[in-house]
Amino acid sequence: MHTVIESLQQFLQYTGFANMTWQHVIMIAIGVAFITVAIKKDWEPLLLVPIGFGMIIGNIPFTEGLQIGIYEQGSVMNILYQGVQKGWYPPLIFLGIGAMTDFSSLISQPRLLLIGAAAQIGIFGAYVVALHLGFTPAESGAIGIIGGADGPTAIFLSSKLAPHLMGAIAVSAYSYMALVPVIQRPIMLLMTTRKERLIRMKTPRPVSQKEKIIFPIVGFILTALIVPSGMPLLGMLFFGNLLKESGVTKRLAETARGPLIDVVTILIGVTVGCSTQADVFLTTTSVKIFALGLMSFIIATICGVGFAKIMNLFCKEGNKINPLIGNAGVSAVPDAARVSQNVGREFDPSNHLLMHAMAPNVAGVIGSAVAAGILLSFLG
Amino acid sequence: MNTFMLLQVSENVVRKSAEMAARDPHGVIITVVSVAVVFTALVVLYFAYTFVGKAVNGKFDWKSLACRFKRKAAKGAPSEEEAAAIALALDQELNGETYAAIGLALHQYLNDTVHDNESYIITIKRK
Repeated sequence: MHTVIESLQQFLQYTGFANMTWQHVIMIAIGVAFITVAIKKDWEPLLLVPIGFGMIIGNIPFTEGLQIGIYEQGSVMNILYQGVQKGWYPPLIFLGIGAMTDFSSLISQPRLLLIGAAAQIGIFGAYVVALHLGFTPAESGAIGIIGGADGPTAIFLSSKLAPHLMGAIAVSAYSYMALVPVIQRPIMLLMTTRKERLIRMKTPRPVSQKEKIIFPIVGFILTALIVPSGMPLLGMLFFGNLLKESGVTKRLAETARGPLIDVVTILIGVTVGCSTQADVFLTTTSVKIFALGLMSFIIATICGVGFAKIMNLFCKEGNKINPLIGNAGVSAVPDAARVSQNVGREFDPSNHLLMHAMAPNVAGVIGSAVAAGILLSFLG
Repeated sequence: MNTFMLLQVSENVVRKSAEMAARDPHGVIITVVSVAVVFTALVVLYFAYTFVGKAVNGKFDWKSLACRFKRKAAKGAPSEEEAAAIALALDQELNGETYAAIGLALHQYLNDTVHDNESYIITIKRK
């Protein structure tokens, strides 16, 4: 009888209940909140549901040594986490993004590329502030990239520059991407006049198949020659687009934008969520990262909208840009473009800005990958 | 396995980061350079796509490009005095008016003044 009680006591010591701390409870609550928001509000459900559930998995306390934790070498979760840690998943996600994105709007209005460039200033604004808050340059670069509003890019860069902050950076990036409508709308309204919001942009010209095929090849060669360190992301993005547009690799394009990106999204979401173990995640550093990430997003939006207004000073009447599409320069495809469309329609229900906003939106993807490449070459 | 061992930053990153902290403590240099590079990359793409768009759709004015090259080439053409000297030399050597005409024609051709420049504006006057 005594042995049975002893065994039971020993077993109880191994249970999660016995090892649970208040930090674990908080992280599990955050995970549940992510899932709730994703289901109830439909905010980035494809990302927030896996991340939220991953948070719950990662914060079930256990006794170390059983090779089950994400940070225990050789465990299943650790093997899956290698894709995040070594940066394999982000280029695969970019392949899928390239294969599902239509760049026609950008090809027909290349001037809108510049809005995508301006929105990247948010990354470097946060970089400077992070430096002054005591982060190292490498950590600051990894934190700043949150302003690129691109989850895979944030994971790619933080895995190289600051792996110890990756959980907080990734969760912050994906959270703010989900909150794009909430963060950007007031800034857009604050920065534009009613007259500007009513600007109707010229219908983009139709783009030929030949142009669509040339786009990824020229785009990759030029950007990779300027920033070779951004090659894994840029290469896969443009390659995915070539698969889509070539017209002869439909099966490959369908795999890239379908099953492949779905599998990688599940793995990246769960493992990133899992990596937010209370002891690593629940620190004042994470709070600072969240604050800096928000600041980065705000600066990026201000710069995007502001630059569209500056461009208007040089545009002829009839060729003006509606500055409401400036927010889309922060990437976050296609949510940021949808925000432009929705805010635009609030003031003129017949003014559809989505097509135009997609141009700075995809330019933002290219711009954030270029920015990540630059930071990597300076600090990596 | 220690959690933090798996989350270690590579030595290269630590070294470069320390160098950058010493060289650019306020982050101004890296910011200015990076923003300039991002803009350069996207401006290059802007020009490339503008050119490709025009070229593919047959809207690129190849003639004007050729004209520009021609004008550049014409800059290396002999001056008026030189052309006159050539004509004179030819005249002295062969003593023919034909050669003076050739010299003048050459001069005019190289300075692109052979043909009239039309305004291409057609106006119809009502009677």
